[in-house]
Amino acid sequence: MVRERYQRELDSLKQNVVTMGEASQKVILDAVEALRVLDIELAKETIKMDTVIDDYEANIERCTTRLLALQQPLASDLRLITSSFKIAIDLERMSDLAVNIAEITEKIEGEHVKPLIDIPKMGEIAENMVKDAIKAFETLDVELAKTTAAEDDKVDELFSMVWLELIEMMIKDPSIITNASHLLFVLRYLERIGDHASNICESVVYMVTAERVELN
Amino acid sequence: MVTDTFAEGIETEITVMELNLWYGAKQALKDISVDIPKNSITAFIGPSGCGKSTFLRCFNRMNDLIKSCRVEGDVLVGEDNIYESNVDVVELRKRVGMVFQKPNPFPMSIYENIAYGPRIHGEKNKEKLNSIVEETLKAAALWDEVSDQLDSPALDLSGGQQQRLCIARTLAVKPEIILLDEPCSALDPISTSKIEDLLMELKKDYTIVIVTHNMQQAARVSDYTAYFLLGELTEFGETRQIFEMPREKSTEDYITGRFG
Repeated sequence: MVRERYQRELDSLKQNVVTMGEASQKVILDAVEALRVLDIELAKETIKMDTVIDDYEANIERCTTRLLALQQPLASDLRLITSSFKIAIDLERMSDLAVNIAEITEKIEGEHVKPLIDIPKMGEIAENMVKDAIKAFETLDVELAKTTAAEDDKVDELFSMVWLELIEMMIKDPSIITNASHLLFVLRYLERIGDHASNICESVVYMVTAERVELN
Repeated sequence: MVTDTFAEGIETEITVMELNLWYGAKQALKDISVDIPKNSITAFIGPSGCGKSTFLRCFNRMNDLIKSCRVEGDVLVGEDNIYESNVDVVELRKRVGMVFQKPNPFPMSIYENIAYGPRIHGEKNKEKLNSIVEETLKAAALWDEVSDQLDSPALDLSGGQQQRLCIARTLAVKPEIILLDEPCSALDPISTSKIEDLLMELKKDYTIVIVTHNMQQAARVSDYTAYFLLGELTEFGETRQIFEMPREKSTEDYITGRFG
């Protein structure tokens, strides 16, 4: 086997991205669940994960910089490294958004303005997108990357639908404006998480095919 | 072999058709056909012994100097088939200059190294020779460093300066093509970088073909890359494509350092 240490570093980089992906997925899952049942403890735990995710990102940044500087990678190796770097940034951003959702859970006063059904559904789709995007990354599966990115349309549809619903509720009953406004932000954050998951899918397509595609 | 066709408007400088070459009974190049584009830099890469230097030496018939060597097929420089029997090989090597791995200036002054070629090709006028020396040293980005010591021995220059002097010496006889066989492998990074910058300048006026073992050098300087393996040209295309997404697995394995 030639360049054994180099190969080990590439494998380890890939594994770090997968691990960070799984952690980010859990942050999204917990943030939405904490919001749904207004579990302040779970929200606090989720917020604490922010620094863990930041550490993952810093570690991936260090690995990619080191590989670029010392190993002069080319072809599929170079595509893996640049894609990993970009994916780590997307994962960090979406985890930040999930943490923002957890922070909103702490701000909700009393009960929700309505039973949360569609928001958890958006969260579930977004979380599955992250899971599948990372699986596509791990298995170099372009088709899975493309079908996963297409899921973002469902997130966008729910975003528009619930957004209108909340606005109408606020017009009818201004006393709910504070809590309903918080939920508008949650909608926005989940919609952005879907966009970041789509970005990851684009990175996977590039990594495998060297083609730069726009999937959403 | 996998090749790209050139973008529209790109002229061909060297056309190779079904070239085969043997050293005695051993076949070193197999059925190579390729077009080398004009005013561009083409890099030849591949593991040791793959035939890339042998192929380079076909372009100015340097292989004629090896007794056991036999060549079949055609190589056109411009319109001229250089393997026809009536070809003047000295004239050919004037059109197709060569720079080697180890700088090899003549044991003469800097000035004489440059003036030697034009002089044996008939240039006697002292003023004309002076201007050739100045022009070519400028073109080789060496003038500023040596203009006040033209009568000093060329061998007193640093390795990098000697190599640029050899490039200048090649330019002095006004070639169309410059062949370089691992021109930087004996040089430090700064000298290497100066040669690379120089090649990027020279390609405006010349067609350049470079053999290199340094993958990053090929990626940095060349417009086209040819990958050789076991005497065959297995992939040829735009450098950007070869280094981002090679079509052949063997090319990928070589450039990522998993083979060769």
